[in-house]
Amino acid sequence: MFEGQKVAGMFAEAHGLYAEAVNYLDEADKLWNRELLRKSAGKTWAAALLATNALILARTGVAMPPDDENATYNCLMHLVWDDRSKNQDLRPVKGRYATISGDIYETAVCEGNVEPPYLLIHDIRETKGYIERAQRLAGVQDDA
Amino acid sequence: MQDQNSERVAAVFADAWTLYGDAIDVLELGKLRLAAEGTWGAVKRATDALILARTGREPGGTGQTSGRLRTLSSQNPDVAELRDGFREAIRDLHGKCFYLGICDPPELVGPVIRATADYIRDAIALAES
Repeated sequence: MFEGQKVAGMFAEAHGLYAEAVNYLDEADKLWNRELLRKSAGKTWAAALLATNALILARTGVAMPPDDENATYNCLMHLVWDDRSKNQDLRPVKGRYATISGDIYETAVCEGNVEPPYLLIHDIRETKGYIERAQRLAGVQDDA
Repeated sequence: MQDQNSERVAAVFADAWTLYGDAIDVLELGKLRLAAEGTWGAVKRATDALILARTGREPGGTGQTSGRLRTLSSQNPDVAELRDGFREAIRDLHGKCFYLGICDPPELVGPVIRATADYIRDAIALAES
């Protein structure tokens, strides 16, 4: 694994972003406010992208541009290909990244479509597991 | 009603296999982009068949398939992995390779197309479970 401290810092920041997402989510739930739900989706997406970039940095030593989610996805695709004869532990990461990117980022954040809210809330809550999985695969301890 | 539904599920899965078989034929002719689109069609039809089997309602367009798969996955954790595969297929095969003509790395797209047989098998297993 590469850049241990930097990677740990990125995961810490990702957890912070996700905590902000949960705060927005709780507020959105209390107030039945769709704009807050969209903000929660935005923070969730930022956390997932950062965690993915941290995993890529840990595995390859390459720092991805922070805002180019296509570059991140393409890098994941190549890593899955390079890893094909090994344990394929990145395969499910790429799949879940595609789902988060499609349903949280494109649909909720970019298009502003948060309907139906219960499904978006479910997806936001599930993203915690994605960040934790990326962190495990990057070899970073839980207390980062 | 149940039998009619089962027959329809089988027919839609058969359609998925037909599209997949045609995509492999096209792939062997070296037409990667067209093969990708045929494969995407197979993924969509297999997903439609699963949704029909689980809910009794066959989706229409891609938006319906995607939305109902999302709902199904939120209620059934065993479907979550298939949903990820569906999202990958939209992005890799349909959006990127077919629409944009970016089919790289080519050495990866071919195996992704062939591996779609696993997606169809997984959808059948979920429909029968």
